[in-house]
Amino acid sequence: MPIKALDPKVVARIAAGEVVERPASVVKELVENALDAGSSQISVEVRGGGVSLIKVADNGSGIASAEVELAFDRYATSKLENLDDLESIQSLGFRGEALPSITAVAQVDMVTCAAGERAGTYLALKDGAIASRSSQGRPQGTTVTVANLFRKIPARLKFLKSVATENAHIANVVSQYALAFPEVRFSLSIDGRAALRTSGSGRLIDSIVEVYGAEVADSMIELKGEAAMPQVTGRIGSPKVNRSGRGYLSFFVNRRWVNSRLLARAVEEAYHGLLMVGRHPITVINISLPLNEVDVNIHPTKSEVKFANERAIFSAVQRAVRQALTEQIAVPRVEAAVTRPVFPSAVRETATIPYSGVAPGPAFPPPTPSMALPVLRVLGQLDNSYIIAEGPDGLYLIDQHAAHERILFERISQQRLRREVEVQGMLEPMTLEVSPRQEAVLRSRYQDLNEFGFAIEPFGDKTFLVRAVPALLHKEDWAGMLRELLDSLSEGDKGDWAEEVTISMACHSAVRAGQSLSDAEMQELVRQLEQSDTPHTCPHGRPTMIHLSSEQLKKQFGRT
Amino acid sequence: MWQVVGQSRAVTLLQRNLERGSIAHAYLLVGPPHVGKMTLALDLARALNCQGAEPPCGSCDACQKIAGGKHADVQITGLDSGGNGNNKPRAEISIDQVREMQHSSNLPPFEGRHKVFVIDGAELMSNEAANCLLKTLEEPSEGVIFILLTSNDSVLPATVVSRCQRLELHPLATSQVETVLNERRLVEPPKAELLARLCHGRLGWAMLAAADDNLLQQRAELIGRLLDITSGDNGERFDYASRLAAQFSQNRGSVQEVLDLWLDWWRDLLLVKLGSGDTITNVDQKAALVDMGRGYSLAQIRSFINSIQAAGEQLRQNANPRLVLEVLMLNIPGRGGV
Amino acid sequence: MKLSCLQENLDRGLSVVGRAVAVRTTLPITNNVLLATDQSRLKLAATNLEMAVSCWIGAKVEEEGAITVPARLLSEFIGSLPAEKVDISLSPQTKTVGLKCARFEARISGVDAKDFPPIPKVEGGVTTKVEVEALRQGIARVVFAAATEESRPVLTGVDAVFEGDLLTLAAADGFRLAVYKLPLAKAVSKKTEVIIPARALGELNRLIAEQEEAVEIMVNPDKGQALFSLKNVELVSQLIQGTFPNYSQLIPKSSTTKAVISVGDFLRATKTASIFARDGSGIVRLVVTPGGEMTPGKVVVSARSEEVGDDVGEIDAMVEGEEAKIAFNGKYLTDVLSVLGEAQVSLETTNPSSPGVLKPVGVDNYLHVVMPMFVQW
Repeated sequence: MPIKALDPKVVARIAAGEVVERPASVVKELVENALDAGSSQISVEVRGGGVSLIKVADNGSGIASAEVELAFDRYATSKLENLDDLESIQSLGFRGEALPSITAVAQVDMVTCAAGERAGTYLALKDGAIASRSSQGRPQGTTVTVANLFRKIPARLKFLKSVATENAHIANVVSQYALAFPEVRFSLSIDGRAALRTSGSGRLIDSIVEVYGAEVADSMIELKGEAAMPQVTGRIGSPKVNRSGRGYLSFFVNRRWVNSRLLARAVEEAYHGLLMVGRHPITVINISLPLNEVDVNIHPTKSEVKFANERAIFSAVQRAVRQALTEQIAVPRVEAAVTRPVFPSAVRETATIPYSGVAPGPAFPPPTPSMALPVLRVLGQLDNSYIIAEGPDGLYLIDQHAAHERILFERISQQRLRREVEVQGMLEPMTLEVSPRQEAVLRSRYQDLNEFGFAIEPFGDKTFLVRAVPALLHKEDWAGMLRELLDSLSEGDKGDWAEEVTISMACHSAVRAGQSLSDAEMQELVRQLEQSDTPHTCPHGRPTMIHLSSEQLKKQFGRT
Repeated sequence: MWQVVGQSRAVTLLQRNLERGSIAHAYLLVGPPHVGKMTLALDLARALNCQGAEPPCGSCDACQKIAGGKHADVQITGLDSGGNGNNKPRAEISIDQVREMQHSSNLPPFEGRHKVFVIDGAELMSNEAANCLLKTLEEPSEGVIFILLTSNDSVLPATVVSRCQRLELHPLATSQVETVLNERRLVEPPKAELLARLCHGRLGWAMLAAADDNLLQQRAELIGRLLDITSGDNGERFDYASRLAAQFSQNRGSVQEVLDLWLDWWRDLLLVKLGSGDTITNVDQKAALVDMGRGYSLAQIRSFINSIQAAGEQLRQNANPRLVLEVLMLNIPGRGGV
Repeated sequence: MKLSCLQENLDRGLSVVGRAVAVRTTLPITNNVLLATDQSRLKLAATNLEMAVSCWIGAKVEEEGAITVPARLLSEFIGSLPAEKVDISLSPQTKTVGLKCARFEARISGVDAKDFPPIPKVEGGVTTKVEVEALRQGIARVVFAAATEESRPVLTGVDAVFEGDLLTLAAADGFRLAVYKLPLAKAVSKKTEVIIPARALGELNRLIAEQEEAVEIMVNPDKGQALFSLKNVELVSQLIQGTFPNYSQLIPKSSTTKAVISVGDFLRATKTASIFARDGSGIVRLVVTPGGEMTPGKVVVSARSEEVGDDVGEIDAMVEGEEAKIAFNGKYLTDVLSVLGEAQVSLETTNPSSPGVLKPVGVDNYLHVVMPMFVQW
């Protein structure tokens, strides 16, 4: 597609804004251009945090000698002809502002050679204008060199972080595109040091090995996208590989790298209960959508997207991730360090297939999905808080409160789904007085609390009448529990409302730490935990148990 | 005799409350550690239960029992009270402790006239515990008085604060502390002066230090560490930062004490450099201060004082302690600034 | 202090006061037991500041005196001694108690008796007397219905109304109510209502288990204390401050179904069903069917559990009125049925969401109201 100046209508339609915020944005624009040009090799070289030098070379289609100057005209782009095209943006650097914006803040050189041309074109730009032009030999492709970024704008220069930080941003940009385009061979060199090099093999897992290392890649589970749109593909980390920040959630929409709170939430909810609070998974997820169902044009740097049907996307992502997680968890191979909680860990079988990106074939029949515990024999109680039990493979320390919470959480959820919540009537209705903040939440929710067994009705100013309570809680301080729940709900959207209530009920009716239990009670608790669907974590996501395998015991005692 | 020293505003108010029979159901005593909160709370408990003519007389059975922590109707609840069976230090005042108080508050006094519940470190109540207490503060039983002690009432739920009568206790003047120490003949005069300066108006600390040499010994160790670290290399500094950070997760207060000591020290450096050596805190270290002061410029000292204060503030705001302390260590000025 | 007494008396005395020893406390001395000479007897006393129990045992006192010692240590030591004479002596300087029995000897460090919280003297209140068997029955039939949870403090106690020659005991926990009336052996001078902590009444019932003499009671609502005088034992209880809810309005005035059932059969069926209801919250369902011309009436008791299965038991009953369906917490039924000494009980109900009333047949001094559980039928 030849380069033309955009129709003014199109220009107006494109949100205005500065594209170049920091060196990494330059890299992003240039890499996107290279990808749009159909390159199979892209090499990025930066110096001084990208301020001194950014050089991006590709082997893509190149720009024809006649069109080179137009490439630096603001809102000229070879990628977009008119408004209809904007509806179906498929290329990544569609905005056409990239090159001109960059020339406005830096010194830019370009050498490009289109297919079929005998010699390439060299163009030097300074302060937004063409300084010189000549002919220069080059194989097909384009090399853009950006030097002295922001030198003329000290204000922007001041806002840049340390060289190390800017380098990290650049590395992140290149890494993200390496993950999104496994078929392209990327290389990144920072101050002469090779920072990243991908094979361009076309297999995502290979890119993950390069970006996150073999250990993480080892535990990444493949998402098996459904055939229909929206198609969710990629790989996600097993829960045992987790990070304290959200920076390891990579999302691509039609292979465009995006930030999306919606997608992050969908993923985190799918991991819900499998990760400790404050821990986040590692994911590389691409969503393929019909072009007209996504609007990438809401932010100048194009990293935010808007979906036509958010709900469908949300549930497709959540479903795909959850499904992959449950299947992966299917083969429990307890691999706990001495003090490490038992998280269901990765499937060895898949890991031994060397980064093929292909799911295990029929040679590995999928086992029945179950995370069930082995049968445990209770040995005693520790510190009135932990149950000590023996299993076929070593010792289990079970947190009695967390374990009971898990059991009750599942019981309450099931009873609610079956509409069989056990409700104890009150001999005399009790009044519940609440604070103004609590009242606001309760007024909008008291009817929904019915599903959980609370019969509550408004009874004047900041007062409610309670006629029945969940049987599970009738011996507990249910009024205190309600107040706490309302407080926490009034602190803003905390996710699934019903789950909050269920967790709160489970927490308040579960045996507490410090409560001594009889042998029979401990056996009963362990028996019920054995039957739980997800016995390893409590509903808050904390572990319910620690496992010391016979092997570890041996090792610790030096018997091996 | 009211035992608390130098808190005349609070005492006058309480005395007036007592005379008029307008004692509140709950008091909140706010002030820095060791300033006299517990002493004042026990004074009030004695005044309420005193059998003598001029409550608190200090000599009747009730007054003596309360002073000795042996009165059945005066209960002190804090992190280390109320045997929870395994004698482990708690991290917070639990809802169970509040429930015990509640249960007891619905029963009449056992031997005295009023039940008094003192909550030492009210800011350490868990959320649940505070909510639970709220109910009792809303519907107080007759004759029951709650006294909440805290050094920081901004972290208490507003609902709790609003149900208490709030009394602020302020640090005493250095001279006042010195006078008390000398009057009570707790230490020799030179030591009294040192303690009066070191305690920053918190008489309780001075009395503790007078009774227990360990406190001064600890101070000496901390000063020694400060001097080592200041002249040490980054390796030692980072090592110290990480040890302090580990300590912080066990005991926040102890790290704050270290920072306070550092602050005092550098403030003293500033003072000796400015020629106001009379007003320094570490009077026994004057020579060392003068000597050390020669190595730094005023600007360096001032900027490091800012760093120490910033670090304290950041720790209070729950910043990553290790990071904060490492930054602080990196900001230690280099010698030779003059 | 110097005295001697018999090991078995001392052992029994320590077990009597032992239950009043504080468990968790902010006042460490309440973990101790007080030993004091009292004329020619030895007085043992313990308190947890909610109640205080004193007990007197025969002793040969050579020298007056008093001391407190750790209760558990003392009773474990005394319990291990042979049934012979125990010599007790106190060294006033060191506050050490020397104990000697047969060939055993021990020394225990004590704490000064004047630091021990003074056992309240109850005086100036209303006095009366109750036959011990009636009191045993009364306490047993109401005390379990008191609340164990502290959110409404008055419900953790038993309401006691002394009026004329009648004592009415009542306890409720928000879900059930038990009311028992018993005669006073000595009429009271004026109507008096107090709330006695259920824990203290439970202790009292333990103390009177083997006693035959009537119990003297003195209540002083103004001081908030009640004294129960037994043979050689006194229990002083602090009274819960507050007003007990007016419960008479909670007792249904009428019913549409009344079933008379054998207590034993009903208890057995409920217990069996409760096993099956264990996984849940213990829902036991009752279907009450009136008899026909030829068939007797019946009550079907059932429970089910997702895991274990279900259980259906059928018991004969004399049923008046309509068929009825109602579900209860099985524990609430077994609690009340297990304390009934009578052969038969009547169950009166109105509808599945209104309270049921249980009354033993043949007496009219006890009734028990239970709120049902709301279930899908």
